[in-house]
Amino acid sequence: MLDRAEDFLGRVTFVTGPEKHCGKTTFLNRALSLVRAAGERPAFLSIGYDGEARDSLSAARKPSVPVSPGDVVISAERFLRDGRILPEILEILPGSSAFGRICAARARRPGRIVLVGPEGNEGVARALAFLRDEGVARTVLVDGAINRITQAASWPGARFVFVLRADAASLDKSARQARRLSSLASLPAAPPGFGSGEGEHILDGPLTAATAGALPDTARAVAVEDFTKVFLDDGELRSFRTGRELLVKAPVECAGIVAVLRGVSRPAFLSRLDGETAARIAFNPYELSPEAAA
Amino acid sequence: MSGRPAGLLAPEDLADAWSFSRAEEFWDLYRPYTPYGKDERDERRVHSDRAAIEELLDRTEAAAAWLDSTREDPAARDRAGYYLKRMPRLPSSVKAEYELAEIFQVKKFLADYQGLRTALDETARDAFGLGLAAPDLAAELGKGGSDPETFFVSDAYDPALAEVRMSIARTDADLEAARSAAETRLAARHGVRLSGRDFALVPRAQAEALLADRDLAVVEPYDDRLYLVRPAADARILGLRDLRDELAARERKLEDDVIRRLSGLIASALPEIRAASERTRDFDLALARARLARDLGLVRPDLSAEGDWELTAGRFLPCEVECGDLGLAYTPLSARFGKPVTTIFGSNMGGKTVALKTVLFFQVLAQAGFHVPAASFRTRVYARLSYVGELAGERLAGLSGFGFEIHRFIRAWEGMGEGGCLAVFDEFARTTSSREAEALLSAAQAELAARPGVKSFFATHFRGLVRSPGVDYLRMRGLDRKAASECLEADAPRAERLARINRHMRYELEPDAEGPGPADALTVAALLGLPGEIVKKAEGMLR
Repeated sequence: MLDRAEDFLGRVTFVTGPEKHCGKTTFLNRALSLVRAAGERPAFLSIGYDGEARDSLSAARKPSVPVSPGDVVISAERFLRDGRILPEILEILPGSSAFGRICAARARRPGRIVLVGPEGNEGVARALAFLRDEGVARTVLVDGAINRITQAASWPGARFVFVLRADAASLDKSARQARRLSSLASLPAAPPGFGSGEGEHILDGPLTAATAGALPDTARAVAVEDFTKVFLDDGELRSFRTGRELLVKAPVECAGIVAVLRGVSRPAFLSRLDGETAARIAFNPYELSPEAAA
Repeated sequence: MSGRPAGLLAPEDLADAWSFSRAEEFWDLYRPYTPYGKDERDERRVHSDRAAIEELLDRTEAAAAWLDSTREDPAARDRAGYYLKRMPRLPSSVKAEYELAEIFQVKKFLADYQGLRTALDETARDAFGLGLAAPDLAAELGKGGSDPETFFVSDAYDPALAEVRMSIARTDADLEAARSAAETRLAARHGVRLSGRDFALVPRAQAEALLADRDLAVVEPYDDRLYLVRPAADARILGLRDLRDELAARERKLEDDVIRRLSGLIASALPEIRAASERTRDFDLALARARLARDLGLVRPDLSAEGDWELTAGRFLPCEVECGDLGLAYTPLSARFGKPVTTIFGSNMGGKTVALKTVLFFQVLAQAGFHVPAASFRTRVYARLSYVGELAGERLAGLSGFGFEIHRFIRAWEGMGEGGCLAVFDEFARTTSSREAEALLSAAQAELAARPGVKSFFATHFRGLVRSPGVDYLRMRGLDRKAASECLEADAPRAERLARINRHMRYELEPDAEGPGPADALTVAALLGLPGEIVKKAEGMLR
């Protein structure tokens, strides 16, 4: 799972993670190489600039992203030129970053580039709209924080990948993150017209312990915009769902959870997950299985 | 006010009139395509210079004429819209060296501008001065890019650039071949297949075997189980990388030379490009106004009146839409206001406030250079448009409310200088006692009637005004009591009763004679079910 071109071809995939240094960009590189090997020229961008110095998949300095001729890249002009990709400017996206204007460019030769992308949901939406409206790429990969995947909901077929790392010290925490994410990604979609029926309630803002406590007792089914608006921890979420049904207005499909293990065995990690979460797990694609390495 | 063109009403002076007239709801329909058109739209310009307004109206008619000429060829409209929507922003200043993105902007603008020109006929091009713009620059920029709307520093700009890029391509190919060979050796000797990866994590046993083959791979511990393996760079690869760096530096210098040369050409042509973008903006705005004129059936306002204000079948669009949504008939306003001051009486729900809104709505639209939704509209241009009264969301009550009204009145009064003023007063002084309010209103109206160039409109329910010769006294026709009584069923729900009363309100103006006037409020109260004995007693008191 998540190590085949078909996992990404013809769709928008958000590569997300719970924190910095979790390996998003290195995973993005792997996905891009799979897509290119299938003969496709992808478009890719990051959301903002995370300035992450090292990457957990390789433990190396933050990777710049390899670019192949024909790829469409979104980044600041200075990085486009520094990437030696001979960028052909296709569009300037609205707004700017600390590094200057954000441009969409087609690479005319190979190189490596640091990605700086639009900030915020609106900026991401505009970038994706440009890629779609101009028909510049069929396959799009977006490197960004989990709270920026809201845009994915409005793109038919868009999915997200959640990359998380686990070492001996963080094993339980990482397993909890995986379970929680899996649980949230399974929330059912609110049906059309939801909110007008008895006991149905639409929560406009985030679902937190405070907003959950302020909900009317009569609210038996509560819909939030999407799962990223849920800010309840595991226990709070379980408790909330015991008494009420939780739905999302805009579901976003989870393509899988990539577990980047370090000093932890696969069975040890899987043993801490429920069946549904375990079924979503893919492991570090840079780790050659004994069969592949033999 | 610095930077604001002369001949425009100051936004801070206009804000209340804008809000009361609901002009924003019309503005939402005004949709130019270009970034420059949108910028000017967002300034919400309202003019005090008649010549400037007439020019806008002329442009709208020229654009409308072009729209009409494309009736048989809607694709021409689509083409024009396509190019307008694609217009980029332009560099704002002359520079010795533009960024790549700025050169792209200029190239794209010139390509889209030329596309727009070809989508228009000669008459439209001439009307808006859309002549050729910087053709030599366009041709030069055309060398850079696989498409008229994209840009890169292509080899065509400098033979030396082509040469260095060929060397780069050869070096890249050599590096790729070296990488691929190392990957193949790694797979053949140790079974580590990178399959496009930069590195791989392998088990200890494999890593130990690789440690004996240091020329082939770099091996680093990853954790207690796995090792990170990446192909090692040999002396040849390091040499190729150095060469690649050197070639890249040479290429960058050549590119910078090209960029400086193109920047010089752009800087020279910038005045011409800016002029073309301004003419494009004018066309874009005129086209947006023309689309509105055609879609909404708008007519050109006549701005030649000296003191008259005359409207025939004027539709206050926000109200018309609301009535449509509620299933109610909307009555357009027809009126001629000849005297300096007009007073409109009427009962609650009688439409006098809507009449005032209609007056300001039309005046704002006309001075913003729009055609207007009426059979005809005649007015003059005023240097100031003022509103005194409550605004949406406000609740002026008690002493503070009265103070606020007086503050607004003073501001309007002090602004009534050169260039004339049209001022609208809705229920002025309603927060004070009727006796004092009537005295205040009568005095204000008499003074306003004596001020040259001032046209003012009052809506009030105070009937005890001291009447002045410079004031027109009108009233809303109000409720058709007979029709309303006949259609009301005794047991109809209150909402239904209200709707039916609404349907029988006559939103028309008629001259008002002195005296108590019609007692619509009592009739409405009776129709809504107020006990008969109270209504009768109240009617008796009125008599």
